[in-house]
Amino acid sequence: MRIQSVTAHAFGPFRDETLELADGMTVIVGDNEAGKSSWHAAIFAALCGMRRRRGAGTSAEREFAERHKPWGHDHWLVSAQIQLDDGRLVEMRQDLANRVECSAMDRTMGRDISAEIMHDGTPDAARWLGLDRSSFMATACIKQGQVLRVVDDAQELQNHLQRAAATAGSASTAAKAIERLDAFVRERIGTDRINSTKPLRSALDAVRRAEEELDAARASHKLYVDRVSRIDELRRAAADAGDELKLHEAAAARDDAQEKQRRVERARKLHESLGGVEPPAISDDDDLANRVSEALAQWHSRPAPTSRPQRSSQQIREELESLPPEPDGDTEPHDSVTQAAEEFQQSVTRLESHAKSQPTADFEEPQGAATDEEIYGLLQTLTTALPVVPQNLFDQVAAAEIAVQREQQREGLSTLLITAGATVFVIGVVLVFTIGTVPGIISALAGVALALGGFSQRDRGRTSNAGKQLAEVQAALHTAQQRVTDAQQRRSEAEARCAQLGIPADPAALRAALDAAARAREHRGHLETWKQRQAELEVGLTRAAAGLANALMARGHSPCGRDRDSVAASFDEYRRVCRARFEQAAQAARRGDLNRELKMAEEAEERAAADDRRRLHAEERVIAMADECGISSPNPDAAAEALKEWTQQRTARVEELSKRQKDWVTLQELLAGKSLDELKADSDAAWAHACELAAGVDQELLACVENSIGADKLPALREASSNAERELAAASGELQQFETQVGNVAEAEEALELAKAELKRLQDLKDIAERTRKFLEDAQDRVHRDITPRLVETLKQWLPRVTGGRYTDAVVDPATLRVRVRAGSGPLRDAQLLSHGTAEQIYLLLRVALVDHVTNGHDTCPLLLDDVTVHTDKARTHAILELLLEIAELRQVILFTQEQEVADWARNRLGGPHHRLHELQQVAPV
Amino acid sequence: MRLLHFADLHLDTPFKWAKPQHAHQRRRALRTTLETICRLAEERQVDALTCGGDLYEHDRFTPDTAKFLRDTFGALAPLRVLLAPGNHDWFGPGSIYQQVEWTDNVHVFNTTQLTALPFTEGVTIWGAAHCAPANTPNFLDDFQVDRGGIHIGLFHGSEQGNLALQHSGKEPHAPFYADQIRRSGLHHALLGHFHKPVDGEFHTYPGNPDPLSFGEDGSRGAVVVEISDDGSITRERVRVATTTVNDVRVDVTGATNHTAVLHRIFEATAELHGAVRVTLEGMLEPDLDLRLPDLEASAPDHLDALSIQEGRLSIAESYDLEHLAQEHSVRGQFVRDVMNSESLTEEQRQRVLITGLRALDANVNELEIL
Repeated sequence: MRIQSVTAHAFGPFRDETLELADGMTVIVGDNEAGKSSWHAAIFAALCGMRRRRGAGTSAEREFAERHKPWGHDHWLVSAQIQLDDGRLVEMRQDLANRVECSAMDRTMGRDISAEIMHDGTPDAARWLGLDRSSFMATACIKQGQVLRVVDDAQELQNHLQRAAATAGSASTAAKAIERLDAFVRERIGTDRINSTKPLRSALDAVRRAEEELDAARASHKLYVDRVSRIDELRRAAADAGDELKLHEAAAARDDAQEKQRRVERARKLHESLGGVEPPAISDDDDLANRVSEALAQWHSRPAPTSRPQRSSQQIREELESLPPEPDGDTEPHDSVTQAAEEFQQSVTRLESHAKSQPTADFEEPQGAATDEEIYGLLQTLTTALPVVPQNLFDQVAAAEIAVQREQQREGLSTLLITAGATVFVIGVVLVFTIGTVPGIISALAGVALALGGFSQRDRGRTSNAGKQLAEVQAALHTAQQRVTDAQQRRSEAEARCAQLGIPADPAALRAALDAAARAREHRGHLETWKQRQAELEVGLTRAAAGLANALMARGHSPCGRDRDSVAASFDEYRRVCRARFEQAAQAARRGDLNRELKMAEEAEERAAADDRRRLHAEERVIAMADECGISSPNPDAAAEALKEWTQQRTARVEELSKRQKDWVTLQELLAGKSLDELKADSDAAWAHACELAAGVDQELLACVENSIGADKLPALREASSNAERELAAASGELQQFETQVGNVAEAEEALELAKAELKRLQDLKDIAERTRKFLEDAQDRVHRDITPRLVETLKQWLPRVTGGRYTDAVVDPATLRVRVRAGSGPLRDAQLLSHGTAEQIYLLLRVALVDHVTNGHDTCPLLLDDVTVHTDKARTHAILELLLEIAELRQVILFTQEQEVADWARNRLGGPHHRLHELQQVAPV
Repeated sequence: MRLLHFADLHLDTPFKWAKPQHAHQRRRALRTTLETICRLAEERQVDALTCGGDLYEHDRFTPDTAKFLRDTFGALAPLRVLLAPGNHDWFGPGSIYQQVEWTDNVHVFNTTQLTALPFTEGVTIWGAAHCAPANTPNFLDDFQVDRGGIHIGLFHGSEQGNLALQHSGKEPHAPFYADQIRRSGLHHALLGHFHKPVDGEFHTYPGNPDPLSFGEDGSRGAVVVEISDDGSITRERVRVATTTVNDVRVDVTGATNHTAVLHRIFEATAELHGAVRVTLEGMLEPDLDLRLPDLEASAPDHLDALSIQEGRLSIAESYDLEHLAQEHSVRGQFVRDVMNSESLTEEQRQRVLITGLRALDANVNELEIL
């Protein structure tokens, strides 16, 4: 996009004035009040217009209107001629006052193309740049303050980059937005940590409290309902107890009425039987009757004649005197003696038993002094077969002798041959020397042959060892023959020995002798053992006898000797003495019984005497009483009988009288001071009361209550009814108290609902904030990653040129957009720490890069710069201007300045139709 | 014979949608409504006042509710009051029906079988009770009237033909079919349980006499039932509610501030009374700081309560999202990402967009939307 011209029809101080702008760089120079700011604002307003909204508008809009709306005029109009990158020529017209006649007109086609760029109700040419009126201001317009801030504030460059990256500079940075979100969440939501005081924790606590309160309300409500149920039960129980009480009271009243009625009837009967008169007192012969009674009692209780004891006391005394005294000594064998006697007897028994087991010899003791080995040897000799000389030995000897003969013959032949050979040889030799060689040689050779033959015969003899063999077989034969001879010798000797021993030279006899010897040895062994045992038993017996003797002596009974028989006899004597003492003691023991018997006999005799006296007294008395009663009786039995009859008659009289008196007493008790009529009246009243009470109860149940049980149970039933009422009253009282504490479940549920709603609101809010944060972070990461290369590319392209080759490399941190540059192979340095001039130029380059980035894909965005060099020195100013001039090759650059330095530079450097210089004059006030 | 029938008063019920004070007011209003019903019974000189159950809520009743019911019904004596407990006020240990010593004119049905209560003029009322909070079977199964005359049923049950039409969450307590009524010998059944009023040919649901929530439709109240000699009935519905509830919709499109919205609400509710539920609709300005609790707190004095909820409310796009989405900036990327995200619901998408754009906009202080 290129802005060709701007016409301020009615804008600020301008009326229908037009500012022509070059496609490249346009420098607009003017002092204060020359209208630079107005033209700057007019360009912006012509391009972007103002949004059409109801209401007063933002403060920025109001300030803009205040500064640039023409005073005293209703019109506020500005237009611009622009050329888009696609070649279209567009006239932008902005009715800033009413915002009605705003349009974007395609001058070539004559068509209103406002719809392409409508924004907030008015056409906004920034849309063709991919911006809007607010981001255009932030992106395309570079003010002196911005440059100054970058130079002065080390963080400003990074902030600016981030802001631009985030919102094309029209708003906050993404980091700030995330910070705001975090702060929002921190303050307006908070965390759910226990110690947090923020809304989320408060809401959670509120929900928890509301839930607890609801639980408490429900619990107290349940308790209340349970108590109500309990009171229901108590009420029923009290009612049941009351009913039960009424029933039994009715029964008791019924019983009482029945009782009273019975009393009335009984009283009436008694009154009739007594005739209404009190009976007389009992008769006065009570004293006589009593004495008669006593006499009869005495008569009836007189003792019967007792039988005499079998033996008199005198007889018993005599027998006592005849008893022997208590014996001294053992009355039965003492344990020690008994034990010693048992041991003695056991010893005797063992000895006798052992004697019976003496071994006997049922065989003949062998004679002679031959040992078993000798006899066994004789037996071996006699049983061993005599050896014979093998026949082959004889044959071998014969053969060996023949061989020897042959050898001798051979040897003789050998000698002969050797001798002959030697002779022939000699002859041969002689012949050689004599006859001739040949015969001599032949003869010698023959001689040699003979000798050799002889030698060979000799060798054969040597090697045949015939003599040696003959010697050997002869030796063997000799040996065999010797063996036979020895065996025969031995046999003979054995037979002689048997004769000496008196044993037949027979193997069987010899075996028998061996057996007899063995048996004899065995018998001797047994006998020896037996004898040893015998000795031991005798020793034992001696000891037992001594023990028994000692025991007897200890009991005062000296034995006549210490031998076996004496001791046995002494023991027998001891036993006899003990038996005698025993019998004596038995007799003496009867003394106690006899004394007791004597005592009993004496007592019996005394009792008998007393009984006799009582009997006599009773008889006398009964006769006397009979006489006193006017009864004559000859004997006591008759008198007693008569008295008995007299007593019975009297008793009957008395009983009759007593009965009448008792009836009278009963009658008085029944009347209890009242008359019969009064008693009847009481009975009737009781019946009336009983009927009244019976009317209020179930008659069947009443009938089931047995008589008198009703009254018996009344105290307990009254107590039970009273307790039930008391319990009911107490429970009812408690319930009344409790009712004031019963929680309101509905209110608690409502409170919980409110608390949950608030919690949900906060949770939803937190969710939205977190999601928003995530989206922002992701967007920031992505955009920074996208923008970083562009920034780096721009810097790398321009940095060497603007720094005179000093800095050649640049790095931008995608996370923070922090810019660092490097000189050659040196370290990376923060861009804002460089010199002011370099920092300014880097800032401008980055602004251009950002503009390219945010308008990517749209028209090329012009740059509007406002006094960006006012605080720079000449060198830096020139550097910036040269950079801007280079930038102007690619996009339209419009520079507003009040500096003459810049004007001079522009005059020198801006030539041709591609650039322009405007020198504004002061504007006259309107 | 003339009866006045009502049901489903739900004394002591919670009003979870209301603020505590208003909820309390509503519960008092239910009691006032019962008093109105009793006055109506006296005025119309009915032979009996019948209640088809859910008179109160067992799980929430307060101690003085029992006294209130006893006194209110007792004051009607000798006019008879017949009560058929429902699933919320089931007859059991601890229930008000058991604990109160009712005056003689009050009769509480207390069995799960329909039992006869003879009236004069040859009319028998057959009543039954829920004796448990759930699983009450069909009262009409195996039931047959056993005498002559006119027979009117009084119980709390779910007519199965109506179940789908009633509010969701209604479980089939004591379910039955309408045609069972005549087959059992009853001439008509006076019922309770469904809050929506139903005038069936042989059965009547009076509906809840006082509003329990917003959005209730139909003519609800008490029903004066005239029973003819042949057992046919005529019905007259009488409004007895103490409370009025209204639903209104308010469009907030174009309102730029809290006061403007409030003004629109006032306009919409000027002619109304009682409790009003306002549903906000339309296009909400993005920089409009709207707080629903603040709006509710500014309720007009002539209203008992004001409840505000969001309806089809969208955030006006003074943020030109289409344009912003084209920016080569973090903002643009953010807008694109949110618009294209498949993990967000539409409401979340709107909120995330506005929240993010507000966060990026240094001029906007409030990040919470509504």
